[in-house]
Parts: sequence; structure tokens; C-alpha cells
Amino acid sequence: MISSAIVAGVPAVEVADLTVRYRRRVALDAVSMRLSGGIVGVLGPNGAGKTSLLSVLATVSRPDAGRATVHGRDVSSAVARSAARELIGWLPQRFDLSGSMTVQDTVAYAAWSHGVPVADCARAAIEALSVVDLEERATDRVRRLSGGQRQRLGLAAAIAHEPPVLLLDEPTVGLDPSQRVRLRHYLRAISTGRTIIVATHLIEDGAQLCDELVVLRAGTVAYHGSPQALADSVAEEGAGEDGSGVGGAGAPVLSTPLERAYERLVGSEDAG
Amino acid sequence: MRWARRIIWPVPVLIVGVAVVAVTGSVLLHGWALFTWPVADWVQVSAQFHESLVLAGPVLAGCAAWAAGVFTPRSSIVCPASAPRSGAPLVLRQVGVLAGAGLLGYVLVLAPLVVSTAVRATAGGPDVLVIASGVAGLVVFAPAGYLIGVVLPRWAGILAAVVGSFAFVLAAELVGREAVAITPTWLTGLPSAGYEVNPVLSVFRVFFFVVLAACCVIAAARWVSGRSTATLRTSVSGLPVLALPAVIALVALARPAEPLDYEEDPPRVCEDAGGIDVCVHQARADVLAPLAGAVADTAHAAGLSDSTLVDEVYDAILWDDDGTRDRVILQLQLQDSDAWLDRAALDVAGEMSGARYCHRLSRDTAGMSGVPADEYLVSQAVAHWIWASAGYAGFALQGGVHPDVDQTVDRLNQLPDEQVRDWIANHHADLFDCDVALDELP
Repeated sequence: MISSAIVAGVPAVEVADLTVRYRRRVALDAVSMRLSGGIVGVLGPNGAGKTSLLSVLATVSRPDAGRATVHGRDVSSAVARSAARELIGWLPQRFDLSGSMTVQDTVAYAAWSHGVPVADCARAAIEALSVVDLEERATDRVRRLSGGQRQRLGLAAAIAHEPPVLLLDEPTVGLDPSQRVRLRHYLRAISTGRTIIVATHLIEDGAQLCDELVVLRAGTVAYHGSPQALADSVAEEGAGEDGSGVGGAGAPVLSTPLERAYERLVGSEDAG
Repeated sequence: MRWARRIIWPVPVLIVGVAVVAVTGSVLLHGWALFTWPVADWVQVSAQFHESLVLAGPVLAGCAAWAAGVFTPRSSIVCPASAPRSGAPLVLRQVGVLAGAGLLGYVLVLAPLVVSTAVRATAGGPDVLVIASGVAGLVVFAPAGYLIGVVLPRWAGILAAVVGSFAFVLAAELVGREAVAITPTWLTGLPSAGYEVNPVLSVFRVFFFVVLAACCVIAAARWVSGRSTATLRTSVSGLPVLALPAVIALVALARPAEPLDYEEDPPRVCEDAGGIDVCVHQARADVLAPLAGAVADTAHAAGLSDSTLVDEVYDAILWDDDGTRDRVILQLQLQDSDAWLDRAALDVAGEMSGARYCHRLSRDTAGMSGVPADEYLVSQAVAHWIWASAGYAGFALQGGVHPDVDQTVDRLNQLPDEQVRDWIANHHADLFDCDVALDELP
């Protein structure tokens, strides 16, 4: 599915003047960006618009204005979005699993839901489970999995139909440090030829995982570029400064240039 | 087994298995008795296709709500809102599989019943329209339960689907007879040989259930495709479509059709039982010989070897009980496969002893107080003596029996049979008119 969806010259994801409002609150305010591949981290504090952006791209929320496309398919119109849905894998921050279902069935049904023919679902499930090292648990009931394994199961379900665009909303939340490292490893492994958009409020994810960062602040794009460029910007400006001084008394100790740069963009509260 | 998984895809094996087993069990529980009846009656077997839904319908609805609860929560990972098959493709496929599972369970029991009836029946044939209305009635529980399952959280959805479906099943009982056009089951007033179900009613029932099923599928598909994790918004845009079956139901309730009609000129088979004509509907031909034997035995036990009091014994479906004294109209209780003959013999003995006439008098005069208690007691005691003497006292008497009957029968039992028969012969006219006092007993 990946190769057939990609058209030369067409960005994987394109967002133009995208606006989303919840009653009077503006969640996204005329956001525009073009994403062409690799792992893109969407960073920002709570309420910055990360989930709203991913929800529009995942076709489960409609924008109030603007346009968003996935490999040229419009996700913002009710009519055209069905064509885009086959290209998208989506893992919401919190997802529902049936504890009585087996691990393999969970992924196989997810594959079918995303357009994989019935005859190919079992194979697709095993392949996806092998990516996240869960193939040995294929016949276990979901209720027997740990929290980290469930998160990996969710990832397997999202990639079983081999989508060219993968949308992950806070995939590392609730995981312990070793599980986070492992999950990042899996995401790295599947990123070839794919665009993975990871919404996160953890700088650590952005630093260790992403090729590209989009920092959202109050529904607008505060930064779009490489993690290195963001880190360099503060390193150059603040050469010779002691990181402990940033954020003032009581603020977390910021030890890396990327964290300090992020702090400067969004404020200290969410500089995880 | 891969082919089986593909057929039931995407419904988990556990849910399909529970649906098939539970529907099979509930249909068998409800319909088992028909296998044991002494006659095979196409009218009743056809009606069984809708009456079997008493338990099967709620069970199927519960399974459908279960499947919906697994696949369609807002944040489902097996079918997220972003999936291309979220909505109509998922709902149609799952509802179709569950309806098929219900039908399989249904057919596993009712197909052998149909075959058995085809082999044993002595008249008539299956009422295809009634059967179709039963099948449509079963199918409707799958989308209805599924819709409830997508709207409510998983366990609440299952509970609501079962309880709501059971209320739907009981609607004819709760609302009234006029509701049978729109309820899956009738529960009471079921047809048997000698009756015909109004074909317009059956066609309407099929139409209504198809419309209801289609509207439930549309509403569920719209709800599922409109799910969102971003907001609490859900798509209720499909729900107004349910107004269509609601309007149809209201029209049906406002203009109820007569569900049953008597068969015109019902075919009969008759046999002579010692000078008494015994006739039953042709569909009950299998019980004619034992019934005629019971009539002859009863008449013989009473010492009435010819048609002294009773000329004819008729299956009630062949004749309205117009009170004619020389014709016994029997409501054959064939559902009681062990005791129907005993009951029929008691009815015949009761007619010969005047007990049935006494009973009619008491009914006409609003209670026992209108009938001399002594005369009622004597007629009942004589009826029971005749009945037992004929060898048919196969069950304990209950209800509507004078409290001193056993004691009075014992009094007759202490006398030689011939003496009692002579006494009956000498008093038959007065007995028949409910006019023999207790002190006249031998």
C-alpha cells in the first residue's frame, strides 16, 4: 500500500490555513505545513492543538476552515476522506481493547477495518506483530498483556495495513523509560518509506526519535524544522549560559539545548 | 477451519458461537414439545417460526450488542473511526454474520421439525408467508441489538439489548392483540389446524420487519462512521430514520387487521365408535383412532352401548359449541402428549353424566350458587367414576371440581360396577339434565 500511494512531488501531508475551533476556543489557527517523510514530532504543551491537528489528519474531526491532504487526498471533506483513510494508520492517545480477544485477532480485525482483504488479514497481523516483537504472544488474550505490550499492540494494529502515513498521539505516555526506548526503536524500524507524525509533549521523544519537529503554541506553528536546528538556535544565542538558570526558581533543570530552545518557545510548564 | 473464519469475518468466533448455541437452545426449549405432539399440524409448525423468538430474539440481540461493543467504541483500535471500513461496511458485515448465525441456530431446530411434519402431516402444508414473517422477525433482532450496542457502552448495551428485545417480544401481550402485526411473537391466540392466518397480515409483518432492520442498519452505520475521539460529538443523523418504522407501527396499531380466520369447510375424518360418530379435522387424523377408542370405552364403561345420550363427538375446530346436547365438542389438548386422551375421555364422560351441562348452567347463572350443589356433585362423581372405569384416570383432577367428589366416587366404587351402570341407565335422562340429587345415589 505504501508504494502505490506515493506520488512523486506530492507531499505526504500538506496542511493549508487549517483552523479548528471548539465553541469559542481556537484549537488550530490557520496552521500550514508540508511534511514529506520520516518521523515528524508535533510538540507543544497541553491545549496547543496537537490532538486537533492529528484528529483532522486522521479524518475523525473536520476543520472549520482550511484544507489538509494526505498524499494528495483531501481529508477535510466528508466526500473525499474515504480515499485518504486507506493511507492512514492512527493510534489515539487512549484506545479501547477487548481483553477477551486474542492479540492476533485484534490486529487482524484492525487490518480488515483498514481495507485488507479477509484472506490476507492473518498474515498482515503476524507481520505487524513481528515488527513490535509480539508475535510470540499472538495467541494470548489481550487481557494478559502489560501496559507496554498493549501500547505495542496498538502500534501493530495501526500499521497492519501498511499505511504510508502513521499518526500517533502521545504514544509514549504511561510507559516507563525502558518501554519508551523500545517503542522509539520500533518506530525507527518502521519509518522507512513512511511518514510518521508523533504528537507528544515530551522533548525526549522529539530529540531521540524525530527527523523533523513542529512546535505548536496556542494553535499556531511556533517552529518547524529539524531538532538540531532548534537546538543550535539556542546554543548560538545562549553560548556560555548555564542551563540551570533558565525557567527561574522552581523550574525543572534543563540540560540540553533542545530543551532550552523548546522552553523558550512554549514556556517552562510543559518542557518535559 | 479457515473458510469458516472467513465466512464469519469480522465477528469473533466466540460471539458467533454463543449466538448459534444460544439461539439453537432457546428455539429447542420453546419448540421441543411440537416434536412430541400426537399430530403434526402445519399451521402450528408454521406459527412456531415466530413463536420461537421468545428467547431466541433477545439472545441474538444481546450477541449483536456484544459485537458492536467490541468493535465500535469511540476509541476502538480494531475499527477506529479513521478506518475506511468504519461505518456501513463494518455494520453490514457484522449484522449479516450475526443474523446468519441466528438463522443457523433457528434452522438447526426448525428444519428437522419441518421435515418431521412433512413426513407425519395428514393435511395441509407450510404457510410460507407465516414462516417468512418469523424469519424476518428473527433477523430484525440482529440490527436492533447492534444499534443499541453502538449507542451504549458495552455491558450496558448488551443488557439494554436483551431487556429491550424481551419487551418487544412481549409487546403483543402488553399492548394488545392488535399489536401482532408489528411484534415478532403472538404469545397467545395461536392458530392451529382449522384456522388460516390472514395473508395480508403476514406480508405486512415481513414488510415491517424488513423496514425496521434496514433503518436500524442505517442508523448504526451513520453512528459508527460519525464517531470521533476529538469531541464528544456523535452522528445522530441516522437516528431520525427510525421514525419510518415508528410511523408504520402506529398506522398498524390504528388500523389492526384480523389475524385469523376459520378455514372454510375444513376437511374432516370420522369413525364410528359404538354408534357414536367421532370426527376430527383431517390434520388430526392420527388421533382419530385412539379418540374413537376412548369414546367407545367411555360409553361402554357408562353402560351406554349405543347413542343413548351422545350421537357425535366432534373436534372443536369443526363445529362451534352451540350447546346442542347430543353432540360433544372436544377441545383436544394435544399439546399435552401424555394426557390428552384422558382429558378427552373425561370430557365425554362429563357430557354423559351431565357434568358439562351442570358446568354450563353454573357459568350461565354466574357461579356455582346458581346450580344445586348436590346435583353438580353427583354429575361430577358419576363422570369420574365412568372415566376411571374406562381406564383413563391418568392425571389428578384440579380446579373446577367439587370438593366432595373423591368421597362420592369412593361411595360408587364400593358398589359392584354392574349396579352403578344399571343406576346410570335408569337415571340417564335426569343426569343429563343435571337433576339428580345426592340422596338418589345408590
